[in-house]
Amino acid sequence: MQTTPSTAASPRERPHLWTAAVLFAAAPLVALLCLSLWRTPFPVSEAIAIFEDVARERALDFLIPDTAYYRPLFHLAISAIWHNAGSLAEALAWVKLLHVVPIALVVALLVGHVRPRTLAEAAIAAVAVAVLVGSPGFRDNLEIPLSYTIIGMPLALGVWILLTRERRRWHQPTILLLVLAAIGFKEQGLVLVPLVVAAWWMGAPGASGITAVALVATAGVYAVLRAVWGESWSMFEQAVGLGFGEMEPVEAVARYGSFPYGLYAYSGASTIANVLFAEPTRGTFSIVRALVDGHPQPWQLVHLASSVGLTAIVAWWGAGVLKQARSAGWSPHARLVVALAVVLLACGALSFNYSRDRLGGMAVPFYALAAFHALRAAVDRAAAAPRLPFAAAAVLLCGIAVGWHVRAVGTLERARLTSIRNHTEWLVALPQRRIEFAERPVYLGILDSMIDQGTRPGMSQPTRYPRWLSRWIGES
Amino acid sequence: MTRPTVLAALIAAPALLAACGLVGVEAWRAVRPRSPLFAAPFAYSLADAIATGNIQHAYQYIRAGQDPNARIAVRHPDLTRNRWVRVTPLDWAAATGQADAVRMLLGFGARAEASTLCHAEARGHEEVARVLRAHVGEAAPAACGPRQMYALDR
Repeated sequence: MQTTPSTAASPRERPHLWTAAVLFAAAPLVALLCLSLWRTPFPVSEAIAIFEDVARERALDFLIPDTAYYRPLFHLAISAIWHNAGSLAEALAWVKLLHVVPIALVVALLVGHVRPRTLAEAAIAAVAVAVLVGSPGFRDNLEIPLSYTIIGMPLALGVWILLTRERRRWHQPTILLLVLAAIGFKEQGLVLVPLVVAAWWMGAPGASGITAVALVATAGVYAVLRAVWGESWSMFEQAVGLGFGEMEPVEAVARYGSFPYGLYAYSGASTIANVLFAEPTRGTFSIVRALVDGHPQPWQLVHLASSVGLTAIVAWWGAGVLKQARSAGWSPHARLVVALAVVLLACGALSFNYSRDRLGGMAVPFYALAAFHALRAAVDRAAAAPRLPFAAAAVLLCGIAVGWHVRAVGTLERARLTSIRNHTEWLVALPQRRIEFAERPVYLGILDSMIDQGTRPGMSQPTRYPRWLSRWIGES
Repeated sequence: MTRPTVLAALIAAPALLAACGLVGVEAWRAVRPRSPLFAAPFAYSLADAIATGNIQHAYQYIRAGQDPNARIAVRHPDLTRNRWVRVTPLDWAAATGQADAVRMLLGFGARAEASTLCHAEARGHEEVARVLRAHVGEAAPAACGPRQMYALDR
């Protein structure tokens, strides 16, 4: 299952060449995505309030965990930029860089880690990049300036790469720092704590018991601090999806307040299912609903079919390597399967309060990694199959590749659409904002100072693909 | 061609197509930025942009220096009975029911008057009326007269 003749190492392999080829093939998508975000105006909602916070509060105040959303490193980073940049334009540019650089970094880390050695592996690595970029958990984390999870993704991948390599002196403190940074940017960084513990338990070459214990202790302290300061948390912080609908927090409390744990479990499971099957979104089965009603959009079919197909292959491959591990001990692939399961479960647990696509973001790099190895195993298996199964497998694998590349292009178009929406928001939201925030001079001052960046022409424009094509891509 | 090569080619093809397609489309965008593939249909005047709800183009006229309170020439089969009349951009946006255009004009210097609100209310444009009522404040009339009183070609 792990290596078979068609993808196994041989003297003729050229890993540098194929790694460069994959990076070259991914470059247009990643570069355009980064450029789109760079040219996207900051949104009125969220951005101004965050900048108001960092303008008013002392930097150290962000360390106190007295709010439901605790992202001290994010706020410290924005605060440092805000107070030290030479001008507003410079500050905004740095905040955008904070969002754009991790995107390029996570793609480079993924390709560098899988290090394709043959044409087949290079083709599969390109699909893995598309899986990363086309996943809802990645797509939903592109909103500027909310860079919490997009920063967490390369950190998570970096931790995993270090855990899977032979231990060196600097690895353990680096792992510790990367995990702490990920937690500091968003609570979802906590998923790396069970990951490190699981890696240690499985005997991963780069894992150490001391690091695992240190991180468990850190997570414990974090949980205690949050519990001490978080007495006034709401039972449901945001709207909660359930079945085919969504409830506002008030309704959720009224209906499930006496026993919210069932709904918590549903929300957690929804986040996991969203990573694996692209459904439900926000806890709501919108694609299933469209199918039941008999009018699904083509892009919905692409998302569902490509996710279900790929997850089925990952499950087949995962079951095989785990079976092998029972007799032969932990292999790198078996460790990856467990890592994916652990990160998925942790993402689910941390999204108990409400499910959103972005909350599965930390699991996406692991899903893309697993996709690479699973597809590689599937190609090897298909190559050795009789003619008919070979043909069927070829169609299936090609269909999955097409689906994920279409989704990756959809992510780019979605980013461009967001750019236009942000621009339009600046054009239409000013009167109401000035009325609503009349009592907040700092907010209004920042709002006025940012009007030019919000209304300046030259933002990214979505491509107006022909109607038939945009219905498959889904976001134009 | 061996089977693994066939499979590799089938899996690589979408990646290459996507990469080449993106490069081709962006090259075309650089050469022909006003192509229908990239740009919304052009609005030939502020009045056109408002009437079609093309906020981006409407704002470009304001940004280019057009006074948001200066009257513009408009014509509409129903609203002006096909005659050319001159109205303020805000009255035009209110009469055509373009709430976002109203918001944009208010945000960039247009002055709302009680009659503007009545242009929207008389035609049943509730969202526009709500926006204008919040902006006009105490100057908002308790009730507007019949629609005929607010014909644009009066």
